[in-house]
Amino acid sequence: MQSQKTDPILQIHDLNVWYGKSQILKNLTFDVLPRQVTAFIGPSNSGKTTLVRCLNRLNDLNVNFRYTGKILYKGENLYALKLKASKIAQQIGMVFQRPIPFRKSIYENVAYSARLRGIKQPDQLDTIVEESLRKAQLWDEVYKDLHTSFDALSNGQQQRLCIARALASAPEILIFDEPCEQLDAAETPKLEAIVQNLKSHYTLIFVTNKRRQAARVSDVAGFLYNGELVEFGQTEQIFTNPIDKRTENYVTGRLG
Amino acid sequence: MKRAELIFQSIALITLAVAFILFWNFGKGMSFVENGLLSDTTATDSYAVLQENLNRMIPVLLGSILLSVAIAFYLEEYLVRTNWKYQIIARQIVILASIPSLLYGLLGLYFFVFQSEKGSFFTHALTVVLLVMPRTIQSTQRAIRGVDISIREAAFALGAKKWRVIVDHVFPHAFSAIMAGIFTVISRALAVAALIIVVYVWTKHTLQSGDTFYIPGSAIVLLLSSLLSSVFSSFLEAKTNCT
Repeated sequence: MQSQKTDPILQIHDLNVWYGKSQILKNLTFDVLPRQVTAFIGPSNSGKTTLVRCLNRLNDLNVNFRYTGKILYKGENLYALKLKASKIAQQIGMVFQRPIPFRKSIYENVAYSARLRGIKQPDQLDTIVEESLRKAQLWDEVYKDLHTSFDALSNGQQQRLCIARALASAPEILIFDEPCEQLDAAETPKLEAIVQNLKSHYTLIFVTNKRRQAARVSDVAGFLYNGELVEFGQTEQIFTNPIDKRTENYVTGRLG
Repeated sequence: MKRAELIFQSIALITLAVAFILFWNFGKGMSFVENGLLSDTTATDSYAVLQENLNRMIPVLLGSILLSVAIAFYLEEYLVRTNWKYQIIARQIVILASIPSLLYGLLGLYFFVFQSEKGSFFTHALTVVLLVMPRTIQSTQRAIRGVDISIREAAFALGAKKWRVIVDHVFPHAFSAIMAGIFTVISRALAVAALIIVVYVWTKHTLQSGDTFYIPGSAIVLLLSSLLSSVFSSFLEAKTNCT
């Protein structure tokens, strides 16, 4: 196992999260290894989204958010004062449940995040846009009308546009928060293929409530239930030989 | 959809501009001004006063609108709702905005015009500010709140700083709603100004020198009840908005 040699890119230790008075996450401890797909499964309201939002500091927007414990990103405290949230968000990208393209052309949508990192030369932007769109497997479908609005794109294409946009900001980690939730059956395999291809360059965190999808795309999986990380380990082991009874119930479909 | 919106907006703007130019250039010659409401009190005189006042007040109007938009963005984007500063400012704005504009107009007329012979620049400006600012702030706040949170999150998740999110996404999305609010406020302010001119001319026409200007008792009852209901509405508004 080569993964044991590499250092974890994210280390979460004893993480507790509250929104106001209600506790959403309880005592989470796990490591995320680079160049792997880490999936989080669990029924809705189990805290999956809250967890990934902690990892790119999107929870900073919520005034009621409170946490204890440690999140280390490359050995550094993710919530340290000297680290700006915008810097973190640039390095830890996110793709949301619903595709949220900006009201700009396809090209400008992707170039936007490159511009945020300070890239201004047009030819450099062109290459980044093309590369990102190719990685998101959208280039062949849109290269003819890059400068038109995204309106004509299908839901799945828009989601891939959002992936390209997240990739253009050159992240280290890319979080997918239930990205297939609103996609049709034909689009889902495409997205899973993208995830498999991206694995060689990026660390991916994949949140889903579709069990089989997690089994297909991930190397490591964690089962969240009521804010607890019930089990965390190799995907194969989680799905074929779970230790906890609740995990077994969930992966076999008896729970949630 | 977007094109239709644009066309509609430009038509509205052009109509407004044309009406303004007509009013500005040919107003003196318009027969209804001379023979209508302002008859035999010197109509042209009143028009000249109006024009002079507008000349002085348009910068104040534009300035207070810009300031209001800035204040609204500060309140919504940089202050936390539970912050005591937000609470105090927002409550004052809600109360000021819910007072009927006619009251401000009458206040301006009574204290700012009748008390001093011609009315100073400062008193005029204060009336305009009171008429325009609270409502503009409030409508801009609503416009900002109307921007879908997911747009902000998407921008933040790409590593955009707060001011970039505001400039690139929140402002463009809220722009139409902000402009709608501003034009509503301007229209109300102008309507009140027109009403006040009528009252002013009428009092000037009927009152002898030495008489005091008074408001009829029934009008005072109406004004007080309107004030009461607006206080009640502001109380409810504060309850829903400031928490």
